[in-house]
Amino acid sequence: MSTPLQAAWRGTRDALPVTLTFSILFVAVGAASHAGGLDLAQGMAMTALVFAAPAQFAAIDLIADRAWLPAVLAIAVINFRFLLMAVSISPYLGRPPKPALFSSLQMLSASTFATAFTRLQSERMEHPFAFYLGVCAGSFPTALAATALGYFVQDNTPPWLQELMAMLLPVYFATFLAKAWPRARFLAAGLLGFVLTPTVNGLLPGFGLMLAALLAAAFLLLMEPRACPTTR
Amino acid sequence: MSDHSMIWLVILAGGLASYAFRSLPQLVLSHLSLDPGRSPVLRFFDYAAYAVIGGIVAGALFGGGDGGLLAQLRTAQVQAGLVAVAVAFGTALRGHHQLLALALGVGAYEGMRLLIG
Repeated sequence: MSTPLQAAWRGTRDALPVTLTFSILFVAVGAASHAGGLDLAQGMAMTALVFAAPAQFAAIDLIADRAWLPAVLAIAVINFRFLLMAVSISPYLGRPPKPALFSSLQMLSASTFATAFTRLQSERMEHPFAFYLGVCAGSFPTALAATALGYFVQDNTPPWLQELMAMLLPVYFATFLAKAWPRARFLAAGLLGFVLTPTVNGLLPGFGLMLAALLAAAFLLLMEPRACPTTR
Repeated sequence: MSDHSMIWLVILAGGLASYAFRSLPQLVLSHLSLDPGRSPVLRFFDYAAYAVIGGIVAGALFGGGDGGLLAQLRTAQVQAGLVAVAVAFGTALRGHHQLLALALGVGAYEGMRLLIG
């Protein structure tokens, strides 16, 4: 038996490496916002509404060139991947009150998704939504605070620390993939995604993650053994 | 319209598109009754989700560099990253705690960077 608070705390603990990484990554986002001509409110609003560092970096570069429409399109193309993540995680969030659910979906990012999904999919939790909120609580406020900090102090993070933090999340997420074991098909899906994404992204920049995932999923679903027809 | 207003428009439009991608599936799926264990539709998206996580790992390793995939594979940072991911993955696969796997992976990364630059 666990309480919603315990589930949320577990989510926050699971998200600790994400919190650490965001505390560095979004300082860089805040600094880039400042350099790109955004004021503090705009920088923070972008983190709150877009909440995806790759999309924010791309948009800020384009905003600095006064390329308004391409900036919106860049955000839309890069964040299109959230569609697939949202489809995947939705069935595992339980049935929370709709206002809470729809507000919390704003905090769905690649990192909160990867941290929450594997746990929710592999364990039958009593309070899955509280767990997801806990993951978000460790990530979203950190991103906002770090954006503001980056706006004021600029990005003085030493390069070695930036590099280490950039490596923290892929290493951490690899441990989530390993937790799919012994469900070999899910592990295979992860490995296929790992191999296919850079290749597909090279061919269709921006869509690699989504297309590779759809290809891997279709392949694995086709490879599932068929149930034997009933014999009379 | 001033640049200041245009920036706000970009943020709001980008935020609206992002929120639509995040919330539309929930709007659609909440009207369907799908059994997570049995529905092939949900199994398809479970596979896709694990593939997405694999893709996120690959994207974080290869995404930041210049040049093609093969050129990036020759860089010390990517090579060290691959070793780190393999060490963490192997450690977690053997059933060790995730944070231990993370620590060993990061340690392997730093070790590789010292060795190969």
